[in-house]
Amino acid sequence: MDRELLKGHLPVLILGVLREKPLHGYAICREIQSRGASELKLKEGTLYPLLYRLERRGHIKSFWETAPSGKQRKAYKITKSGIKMIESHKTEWKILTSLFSTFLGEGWVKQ
Amino acid sequence: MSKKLDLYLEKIIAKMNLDDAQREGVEREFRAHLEEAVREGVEKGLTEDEAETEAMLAFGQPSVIARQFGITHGYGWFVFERICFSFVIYLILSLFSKNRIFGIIISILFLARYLWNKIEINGTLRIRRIFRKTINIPFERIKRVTFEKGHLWGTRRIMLFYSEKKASLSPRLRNFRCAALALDVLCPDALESGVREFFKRISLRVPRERKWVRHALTVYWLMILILYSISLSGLLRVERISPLVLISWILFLSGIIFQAIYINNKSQKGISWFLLFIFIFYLTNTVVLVLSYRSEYIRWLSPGFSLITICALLSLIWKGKRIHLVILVLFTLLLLIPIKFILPPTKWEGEINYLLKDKNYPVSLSQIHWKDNGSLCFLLSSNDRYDFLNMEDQMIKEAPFKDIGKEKGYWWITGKNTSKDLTLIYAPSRNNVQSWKDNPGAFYLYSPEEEMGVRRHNECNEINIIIIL
Repeated sequence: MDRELLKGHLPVLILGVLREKPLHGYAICREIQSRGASELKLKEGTLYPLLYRLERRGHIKSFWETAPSGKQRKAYKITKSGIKMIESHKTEWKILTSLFSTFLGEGWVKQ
Repeated sequence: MSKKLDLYLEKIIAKMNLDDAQREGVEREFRAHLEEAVREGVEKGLTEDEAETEAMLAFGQPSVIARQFGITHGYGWFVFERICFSFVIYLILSLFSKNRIFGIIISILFLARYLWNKIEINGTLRIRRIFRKTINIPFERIKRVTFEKGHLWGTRRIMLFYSEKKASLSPRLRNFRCAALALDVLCPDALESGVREFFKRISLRVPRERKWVRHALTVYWLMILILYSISLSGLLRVERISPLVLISWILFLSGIIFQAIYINNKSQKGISWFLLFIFIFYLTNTVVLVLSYRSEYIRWLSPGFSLITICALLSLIWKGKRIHLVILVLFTLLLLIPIKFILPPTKWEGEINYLLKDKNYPVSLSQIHWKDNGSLCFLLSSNDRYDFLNMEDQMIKEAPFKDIGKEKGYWWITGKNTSKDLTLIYAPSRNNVQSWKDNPGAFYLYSPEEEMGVRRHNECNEINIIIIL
């Protein structure tokens, strides 16, 4: 699969992970990799600029929490705007799917 | 956390375009991430050193992370930091040359070379050079990294020995410091002691800037701006490079060079270099024009200089936001707008009246005009013997009374200058009048520039000349 195409959707994947529960940066990386996005060969450090961008746009919110080791770490939780973004992305994806169906035939997904 | 991780983290943070508060938050967060990754690696059975190396490799290249932060947090600076010094110097020098097109082509080639030549680190060390084959060196194959003493210019190069081959790594290549860090982290055993010292030195070269210096710089620009604004109205009329103008150039140049070198923020640093480039370009152009006897251009410098100073002041509060860049570009474009439209005209377009006090002599006054150098010229004729319609300076020299001026100097006796008009009284001696009578003709009279220069006549709407014979 084209890595660049997948990278373009990475913010939504992050939001998808955070919709379930608030997580810190390292845990988000592990979660994304464990869900099969290891194909991305994503460098962990490059995830943070995306997190910061999402936070700046108001899709997620950060807070400091205490780790089991006793140290402070920054965690992120999704906001209403983030949920809206996921929904709008879903709609876009549906439109794109139906467009592909129009051109490639109904059974293209199964193929 | 080990020194290796500290150095790695410091490298990422140093490259980022963040203010102090953001920098601290990011540093804490990255540190927590790396510590957790190392702890997990150790739990898997790796040694601490191996776990650290793995954590760093998984985290990614410092320059890539920093660059992505640049895009996220601001516009970043991708173009002007890449302008090679030789390009700027060559371009400026070429402006003086008659065959400037060749100079411009060569300077563009300099720039192309600088933009193209770089080191990329993406699993392997990739050395890209213009007109040469790109070399890919896997880190694990690097056996030895040594210094090679400089060639003609004394530049030191790093020699990499790998798989029975060798390649050179010039410190002038882009991303060299990033490559140095990668080599330090990934091939520590291959580095010779001198090279290791050199890499450490260049890795930690980014100094921490002090807040009070930044505040002092802001005050400095404000003071220059205030001083310049006070003297601006006077400078707008100056047509030669005065000591005041020279001092202001020196103040600006020294301030902006200091700012460009000292400030850590990449965007602000980039803007400072850009402003310096614009200033030198602007200054060179104007000086070339002034040296070509088009002295009115010196007046263009003053408003342009003020704009550049404002830009320098703004650059200190630049956060890398796109809107700020737009404002800066607009300011720069303002410099390119012909400033002469907002300057007072050099050519005087007022009215000249004259009055002859003694009508016994058939003297007439004609051909009154201001010369470009600011002198007021008119023609006094005692009869109609000469045809003055095609009068040029050369013809005037042939006029019979030309020597009178030399003997007596200039005849302006006095000049009363009010805010709106200028009254000049002209009174030649009786002898001169007698000689006109004996040698009828015309002569040419002009005021010395020092007395009646542009500075004065630009301020008047009306000039009255009274001739007492």
